[in-house]
Amino acid sequence: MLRWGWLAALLAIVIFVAGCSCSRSDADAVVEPASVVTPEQQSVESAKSSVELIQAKDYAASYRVLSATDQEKVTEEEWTRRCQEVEAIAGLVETYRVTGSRWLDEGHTIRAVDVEIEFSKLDEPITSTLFYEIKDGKAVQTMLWGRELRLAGDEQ
Amino acid sequence: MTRSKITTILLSAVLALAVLSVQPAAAETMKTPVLLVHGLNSDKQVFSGSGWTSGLSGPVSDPRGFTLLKGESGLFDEATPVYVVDYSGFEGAHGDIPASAQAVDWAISHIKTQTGADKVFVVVHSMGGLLTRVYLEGLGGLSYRRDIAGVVTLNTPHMGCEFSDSGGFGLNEAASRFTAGWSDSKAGQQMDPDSSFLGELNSTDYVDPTVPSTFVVGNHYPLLGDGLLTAWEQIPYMDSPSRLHRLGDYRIEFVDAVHSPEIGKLYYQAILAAEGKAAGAGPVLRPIVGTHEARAIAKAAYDRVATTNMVDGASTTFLVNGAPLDSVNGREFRLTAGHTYHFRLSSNAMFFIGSVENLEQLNQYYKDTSGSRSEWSLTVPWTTTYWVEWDSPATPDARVWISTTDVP
Repeated sequence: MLRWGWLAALLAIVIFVAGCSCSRSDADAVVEPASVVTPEQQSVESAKSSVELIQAKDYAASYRVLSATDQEKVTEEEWTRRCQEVEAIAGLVETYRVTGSRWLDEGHTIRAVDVEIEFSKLDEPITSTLFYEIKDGKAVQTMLWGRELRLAGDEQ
Repeated sequence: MTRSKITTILLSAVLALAVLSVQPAAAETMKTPVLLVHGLNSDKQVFSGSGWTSGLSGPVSDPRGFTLLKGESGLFDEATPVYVVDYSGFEGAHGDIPASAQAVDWAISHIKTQTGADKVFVVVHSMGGLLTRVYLEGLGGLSYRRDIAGVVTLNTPHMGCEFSDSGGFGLNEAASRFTAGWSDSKAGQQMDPDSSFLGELNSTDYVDPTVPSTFVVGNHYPLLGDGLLTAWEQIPYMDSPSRLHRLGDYRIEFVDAVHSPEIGKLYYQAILAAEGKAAGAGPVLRPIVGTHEARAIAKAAYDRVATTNMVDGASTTFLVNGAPLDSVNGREFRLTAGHTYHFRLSSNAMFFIGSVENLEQLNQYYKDTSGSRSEWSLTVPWTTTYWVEWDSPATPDARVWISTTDVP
């Protein structure tokens, strides 16, 4: 009798695990594939990455994510010096959070991502903005030098 | 000479005179004056020696501590009167911002009197933009007279300055001394992003939303914008962009520049201090007023709005608008009461004029002067500013001439 009891319990566990695995499979069937990322989401993720590169003091990498146009206007050495000045004045990035993002122009080509950053030397967090040019579905960071824009409205 | 020949010559002369009388005569025009306005803890020197004006002369002073100076040629051509207002005599240019804004109000009035111009084009650095917006929005007890032709703000803390209430924001000793002077000041407190002053400024529209506005953003540093202001802080109405959209003509332009020479120098010294090195000269940084990009943006903005400017009463015939109309559906001009003016439109279109200051009587006046006609004369009832409007999409090439032989 005890042996049958164990077998029944084992069978119940197998059925339960199988059921769980079927449920997960069903769920996977209805969600969006992870590879589908909108330019808006991409710009937010890129902003997080950009801030984290500076947080990690990887200034060379933070230069490499700039648009080709920006890289033509500023050398990696100059960019690194600017990053070092920010570090010397404001300190290191301690924490950050994305507070919002919006289209910056009427043509919906520039995405602005607002980031609240706590620097180690500043008394209060500051609101910074990183800009991303959306080209062929990809978000590329830009400083917008030489660009002329009109805002696109309240949409976020 | 026979009588018939004499008659023919006389008739020809009369006809020629008649034709000439309806042709738009060569206009006696002047370029719209330019007013340069400095920022916090600054003075007139910020614009001199950096390509804006090559020298300053003829100061006119006001007991409130304001001084107006005439600029020598620089960015603008010889025909453009350039002025600089210096309000450092009022609490060191870090006093109450609405009170400081009286300097802009006063300077514009003075320039109009000196030149006879109806409007003045204003270029400002940093806090000077807040002073100008106080006037444009009719705040601080000021009444906007619709006399700004356009405005360009360079690195203005439209949304405030996070650093302003940080008591030196953790800078090294030298930098803290620089900022402590203004972070404790009245203007410094008003530039706190949470201040009631900025709350009111950014929740109030321009009195005249058609004033062309260009907002130049210094974006030199990663994350820190111009080193003092983030990019976000240099654009007005960012909490409610729809308010920005209500401006009829605005642009946002980005320049690789730091806020001021002082900021650039201090930052470099801070690096040296962090590295335990002695102070040094440092690299050449790019303060916004010293960049050719900022000057080019300001000049282009000026050229877009300052095509002609009427000289009232200085000639018997003058041109109000010599350039083909673009999307701007209106023009303003000043006429003298009791005098008869001749209006001519280059093509038939619905055309009317109205008085800016006599709004309660405008409806009656509108009915009297509207109509689908291209020429008529009118005796003006008030000495005031009038505007003309017409259906510019239907008549994109329309021009209007206003002439008189009646003004002494």
